Amino acid sequence: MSALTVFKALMLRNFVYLKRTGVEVFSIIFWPVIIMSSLAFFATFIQSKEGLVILVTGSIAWSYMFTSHVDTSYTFVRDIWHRSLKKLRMLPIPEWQLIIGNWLFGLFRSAAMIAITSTIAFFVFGFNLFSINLLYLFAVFFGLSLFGMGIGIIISSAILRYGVNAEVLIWSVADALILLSGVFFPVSVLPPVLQFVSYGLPPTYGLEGLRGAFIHGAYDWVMIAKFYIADLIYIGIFWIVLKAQMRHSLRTGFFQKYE
Amino acid sequence: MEPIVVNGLEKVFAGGVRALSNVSFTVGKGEIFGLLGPNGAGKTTLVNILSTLLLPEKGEARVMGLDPAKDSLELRKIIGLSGGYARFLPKLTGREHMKFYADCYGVKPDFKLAKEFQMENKLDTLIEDYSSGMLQRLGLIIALQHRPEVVLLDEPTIGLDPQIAVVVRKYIKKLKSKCSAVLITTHNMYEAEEICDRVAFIDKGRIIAIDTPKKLLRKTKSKTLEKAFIKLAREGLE
Ligand SMILES: Nc1ncnc2c1ncn2[C@@H]1O[C@H](COP(=O)(O)OP(=O)(O)O)[C@@H](O)[C@H]1O
Ligand SMILES: [Mg+2]
Repeated sequence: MSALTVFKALMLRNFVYLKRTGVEVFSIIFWPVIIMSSLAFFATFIQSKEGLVILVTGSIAWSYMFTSHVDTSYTFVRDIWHRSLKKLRMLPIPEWQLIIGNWLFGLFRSAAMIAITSTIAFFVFGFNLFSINLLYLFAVFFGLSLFGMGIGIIISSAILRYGVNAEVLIWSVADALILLSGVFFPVSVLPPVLQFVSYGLPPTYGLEGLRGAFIHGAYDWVMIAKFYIADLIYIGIFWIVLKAQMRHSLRTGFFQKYE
Repeated sequence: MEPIVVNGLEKVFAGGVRALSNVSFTVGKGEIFGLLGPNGAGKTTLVNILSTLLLPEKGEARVMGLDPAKDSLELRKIIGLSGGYARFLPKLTGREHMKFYADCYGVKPDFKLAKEFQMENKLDTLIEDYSSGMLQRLGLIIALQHRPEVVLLDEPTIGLDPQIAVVVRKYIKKLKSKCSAVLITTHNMYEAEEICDRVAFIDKGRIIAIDTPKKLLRKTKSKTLEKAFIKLAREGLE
């Protein structure tokens, strides 16, 4: 059977689930509305246009990346909750197809997220996300979703190790990135030690690159290249961790425990 | 080639629980093989090792010539596993689940099979409205619809209404002609007597006897497999 059939099946499964779970549909709209309206009020205090651009681009990018990583790992948690993980693992499909299939669905959800946040930003701040080079914009956002996949992979490993308790990581990893990747401020304002950490994280390059384009009209493709290289290094390492964790879980009887 | 070969399997869980000790047996072509033992005997552990869900500490297993530890992906294509406590995503219907699992095997959902298990009218019901018996039957349908070579059933009739259990047992007997081998675990000795060609008694992770139900009864001069099991388990202690 082809990987495409599997991707389609996984996406359809997630879609039907989402459609029937009112709360989840609500959450797609709820978050962007909350963050964008907070920014609208916040904007009345901010003097510089630059500051506003940083906050708005940061919020859009962060909501987007968050959706990618949540979707990659959350489906996993859901199958543990409903005790159907054992059945998922019995399927004759390799782990990467499971990861990519769920991530692809996340891409659709993140696209919805971008549509909502950017529309609000346009009407409230007159901020047009699509006013920069579209290829550049696409490169940044695709890079962010790749990193989202990486985070989804490492969280999946944590879930394989600690069970549903690791679910809290899904939300907290994203919070840590707000601080360390300079989502709402340029990395240069961080103390040197944190700056060093920050440049060890792929999304930092994407976010800096995005701000540069909006504020200075600068398209730093070298920055984007670094972004993708960093993404791939992270995905590679996290993938190796996942494979190792999978073997460990097969020894400890994780799948036996979670039915 | 024997469909299932198990040789010297050992499984020790964290905390030192020895779930399997030196377990060996072979299931021949066309056989329905029963694994009988009380709760905690190690039945699920053994089935999970054969199903690629668990790695043993020692020993080896072959299912249709494949090693569950090394040829996991290949093996999963040709086996079907169903446990007695099947669960699915609550917000999807039975039909949607059948379709999802069939797609992942690259086959068409088998609605005839659903009919055999008297589930054809329940397929458009959401899983959250299923009874445990319906869940269990859906589990069986999903484990069987890709026509596996080897079928592994872990307590397939536990908790089923008697009249549904009859339907399921009848179907398991029919499986004989549809696949290479069936391994079924149960602690229902009556069920084993009725449908298994051969059974292995398992107690505290050890196999204490393997034979046809008839011969086990004769050897232990017992009327039921239950009594035969108790006798053999006691002998094992002495
Ligand atoms: N994941 C696990 N971690 C630790 N111990 C386990 C695990 N799974 C099963 N066990 C233990 O292994 C033994 C055999 O369990 P199991 O194979 O489920 O027995 P059965 O299916 O015959 O009832 C039991 O003592 C059980 O508590
Ligand atoms: Mg069991």
